[in-house]
Amino acid sequence: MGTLTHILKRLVNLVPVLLIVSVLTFAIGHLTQGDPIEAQYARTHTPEQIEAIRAAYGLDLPLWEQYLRWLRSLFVEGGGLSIVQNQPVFAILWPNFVNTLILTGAGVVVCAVFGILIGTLAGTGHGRLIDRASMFIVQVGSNLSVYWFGLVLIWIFALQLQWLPVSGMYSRRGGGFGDLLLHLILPSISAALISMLVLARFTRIGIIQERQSDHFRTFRSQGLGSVRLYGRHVGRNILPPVVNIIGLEIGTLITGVVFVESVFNWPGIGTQVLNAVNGKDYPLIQGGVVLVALCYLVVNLGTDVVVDILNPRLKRT
Amino acid sequence: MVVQNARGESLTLVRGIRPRRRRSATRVHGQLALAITILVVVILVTLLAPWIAPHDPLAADGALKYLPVGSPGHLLGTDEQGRDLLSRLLYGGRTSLLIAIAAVIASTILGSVLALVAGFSNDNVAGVIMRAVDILFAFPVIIAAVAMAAILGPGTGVVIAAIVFSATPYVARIVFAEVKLQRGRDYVEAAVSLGAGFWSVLFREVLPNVAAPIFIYASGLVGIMIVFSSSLSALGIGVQPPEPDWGRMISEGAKVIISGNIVPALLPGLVVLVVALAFNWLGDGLRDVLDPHRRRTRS
Repeated sequence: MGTLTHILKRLVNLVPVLLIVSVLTFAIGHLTQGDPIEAQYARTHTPEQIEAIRAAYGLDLPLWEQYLRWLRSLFVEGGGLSIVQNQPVFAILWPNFVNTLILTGAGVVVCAVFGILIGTLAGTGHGRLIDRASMFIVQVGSNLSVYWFGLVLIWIFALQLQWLPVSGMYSRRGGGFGDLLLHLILPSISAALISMLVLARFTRIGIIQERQSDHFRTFRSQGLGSVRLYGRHVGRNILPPVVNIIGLEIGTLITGVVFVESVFNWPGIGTQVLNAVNGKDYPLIQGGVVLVALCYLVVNLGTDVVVDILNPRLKRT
Repeated sequence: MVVQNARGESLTLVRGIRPRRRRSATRVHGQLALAITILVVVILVTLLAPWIAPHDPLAADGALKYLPVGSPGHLLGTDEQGRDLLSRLLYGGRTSLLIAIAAVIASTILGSVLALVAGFSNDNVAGVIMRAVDILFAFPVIIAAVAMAAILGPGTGVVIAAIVFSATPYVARIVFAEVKLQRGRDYVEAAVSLGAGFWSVLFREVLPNVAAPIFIYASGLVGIMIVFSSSLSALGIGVQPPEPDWGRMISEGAKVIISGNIVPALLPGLVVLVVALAFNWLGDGLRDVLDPHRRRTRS
């Protein structure tokens, strides 16, 4: 089966998932306790006017029709109107979404670089002190609360040492790319913490297993240097699982990013949606959930495709 | 913990494969004993909080703001409202532990029943169940939690619902893999030929044979979920003030961290870490003791 058919098949598989995700997301609006329209207008409007507003949002229609209207609104009306901010949902969410993507992207980089680095150090030094030390760090780190870890980083590096900014995305005076990078360091490390350690574990196990393989012993006995051995042979064999883990861990990373946005006052989609939860602004919540869920599915699909391409053995089956 | 899903991909729930270590019997029991000691102490002191807490966890006193650790009468100091941190930690543990343990028990039961039924049903039923489990995975946990918060309103229920929602598919997958191994075993055939019904075979015969791995997995899960629930409460969609809770304490400490005082945020986080590690060790230790076969094949 060619890669293309494989991708197509994956895309078709996505349809039921998307359907269920959309129904669940739609249900959020109807299961929410309390009436947001009442809450917003009860003091200033008469019951008749409130009915009219409700009709304007289509809330008097049968459920299935509301669902179809909502689906349609996702594509043509920017996700419908936010109840609190009275603007199309996606217009509100878009700038936050870009900020979240920046932070997530930085998190993926940190996760990949440090995860592979720690895993390689531990795996190549298997059984030695560096292995034990790395695995101890991994075990303790995996049990840290991301939120708390972010706080401790702020306290050490921003408040005590004053090396890095405390929070936000840019300095108040405004700043360029370098300023953004400085603001990214602590949040991206916190967001990537858990996924980075998972990746380190898998990289380590991959390397240890490779070291026990016949081809490793053969190359070693023929006097192949470490750099070529690990770079060319071990690295190539553990790359597909490593990419796979990175892809799968993006779900964990997104969760981390939402916590981190809250700690670091990062103006991302998580902050926006959490505010919407408190304001019962469900069109905004629905829009946010759809956006993030969609991203997650796209990333999973992308990971599958990349793993396919990296692993030629799969093609033959 | 590494799981294989129906498509044969490896998935992982926060912790990966255990590091390879040759443990002598005494070391294994040492780790297990340490974990059990920590957990017994923590559970005891939180249960006894009303009797041993030196102060009311909610009693604020503006004159006693930010007392340092080791102050007379306030062993661990006070927070920004002058509330005693030790008392708050003790009372907070009741909420945090109760939420995590109750939610893990619920998801373990739910996931195990799903997996048992799927494992001994025809391929269609099993396919539907495991496919549904796959779809649950398509939701990032935090999105599920936010959706729950939107539906239920922020509170303890959200944390429990979010944990059940996110942990059940993992439990289901792990137990499903174990249950499949039991299919067609002699004891199952024997029970069936003796006339045992479907449910009787599942719960009387198969369940006891897969109980050990379920229990091991669940004890490790409690640790992960204590961390997770503390983060949710810190976000403001979990336990609501003024009820003390470790996660809540972290976020309240976060507000005053800018003034340079990290103690109110630091202490609950450290407690969460130690308790989570203890549950982690408990799971590992139990695996070594109850499931020695797995230990040897572990890489």
